[in-house]
Amino acid sequence: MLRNKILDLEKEIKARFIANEEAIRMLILDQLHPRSTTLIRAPRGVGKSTLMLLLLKGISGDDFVVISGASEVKRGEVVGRLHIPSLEKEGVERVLWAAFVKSRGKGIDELNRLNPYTTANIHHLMQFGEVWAYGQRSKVEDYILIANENPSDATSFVHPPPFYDRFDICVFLRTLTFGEKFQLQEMLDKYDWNLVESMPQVLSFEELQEIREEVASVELDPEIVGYINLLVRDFQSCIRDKEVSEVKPPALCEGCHFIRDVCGLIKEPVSERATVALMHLAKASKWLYGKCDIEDLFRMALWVFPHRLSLVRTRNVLSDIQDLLDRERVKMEDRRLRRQWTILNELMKGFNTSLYRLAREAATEDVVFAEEIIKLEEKWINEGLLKRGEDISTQMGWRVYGYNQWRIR
Amino acid sequence: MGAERYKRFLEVESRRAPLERKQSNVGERSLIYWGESRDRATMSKGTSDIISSLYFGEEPQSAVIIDRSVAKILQERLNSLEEENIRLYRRIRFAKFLIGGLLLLVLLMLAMLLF
Repeated sequence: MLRNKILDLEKEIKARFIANEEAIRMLILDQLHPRSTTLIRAPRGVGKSTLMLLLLKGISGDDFVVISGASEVKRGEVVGRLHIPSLEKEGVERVLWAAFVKSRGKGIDELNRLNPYTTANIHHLMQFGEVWAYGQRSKVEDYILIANENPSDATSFVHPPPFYDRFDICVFLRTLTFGEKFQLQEMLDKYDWNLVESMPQVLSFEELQEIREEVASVELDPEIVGYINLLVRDFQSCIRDKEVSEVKPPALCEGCHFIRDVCGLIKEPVSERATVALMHLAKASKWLYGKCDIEDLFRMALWVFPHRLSLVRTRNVLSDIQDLLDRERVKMEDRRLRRQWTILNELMKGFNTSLYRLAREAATEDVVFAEEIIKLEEKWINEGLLKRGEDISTQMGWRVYGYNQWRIR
Repeated sequence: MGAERYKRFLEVESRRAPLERKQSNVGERSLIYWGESRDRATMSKGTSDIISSLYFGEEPQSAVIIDRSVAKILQERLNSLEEENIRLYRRIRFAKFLIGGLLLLVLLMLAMLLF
């Protein structure tokens, strides 16, 4: 019943929005966990505001507020303003919380044009689920927040990466092909040029909350959880600790053993929120479609990573990330062929010389695997099973985090 | 490190791609190897070298590697064998005519002796 409602929502949106099926599917999947935040990126006139409104209307009916970064938005309009009569008559500072705070459906049009003060307030809302004004706090209930921006639009302010990191996913819309333009014209005629007005409310917010509870209780297969963690770690790991290094790739990678690996192409790695977002999407996919396999995971990652990382060279962020994901897919299979996880599993149970030799071989070609082996080596050294100097990190000159301290070689 | 899900993931992967243990011929040690699973190429018996196959009588593999210089030698060898073949064919033809002529001569001589 509830599943059908979500499928109906997808159908109603697709009936009013041409092409971009994958983006629509991801947008809907992302709404199936509490306090969802979605970013839509597209060039001007492609329909990012329309898609945002269709989704808001489909879930919240008329209970949604859209603020526009293109206009001068003041804090009072986004968070709250002081109630002057109370102050004048009673000397009490009473805050009138803005409709944006109270409404379940929140939309931000042209996000990249928001001023830093408004951005900071929204950042706080997304981070802590609350807003502050005049020394008073208001807890924000469960919501859906959908924002859009044109990445090639010249803006006055550049928002900090942690702000974008708070968005679960970032979907990109494309322009319509020749044939699709005809479809759009027919669609506009059908709905009398009023796509958003014609959009019905498919489900209530209470139903959405019920769905969110069901999705949260979905159990994922250990394999999928493992691959989510592995994929994110591959986009984070660096044997030279780029996360804390002042020198970033490619300069940092000079002379590195793993220079040809994916890590050498990523300047700023993804955060742990990428893992959370992928887990939410995987659960939502399993709840809605009854499955989530490794291929689904790689498709989801394309929308989870773009706003969370920066690459050494970017020509087209989506195709660049897709290239990295394709390489990752091959790497995952290669790991399986090398029996890396089997070896690690055996080594975690106990030290074995033959297996350790194979593990060392694999570690020289895989940073993530090397990290795990190095941690085990530390344990074996402490237990006297291995001598310092025989370990791979000493021999390769790698710096790793081990046992709550940085060991710099 | 000790997270339950992590262990479960490793267990699942271990079941999907197991290591194989083989008893060593020497002593009681067991050897661990990647295994002859379906997803790995298996080494076939025989030689991949054409020379070893031709001159040392070794069984060739399904794929045989041939060097340019070896190919040239084989080409020259085939040409000389072809020439040899033609020469021998001519000799055989000459020998056939000769044998035929001699047979005719013997028959004529026998006929003269009898009649």
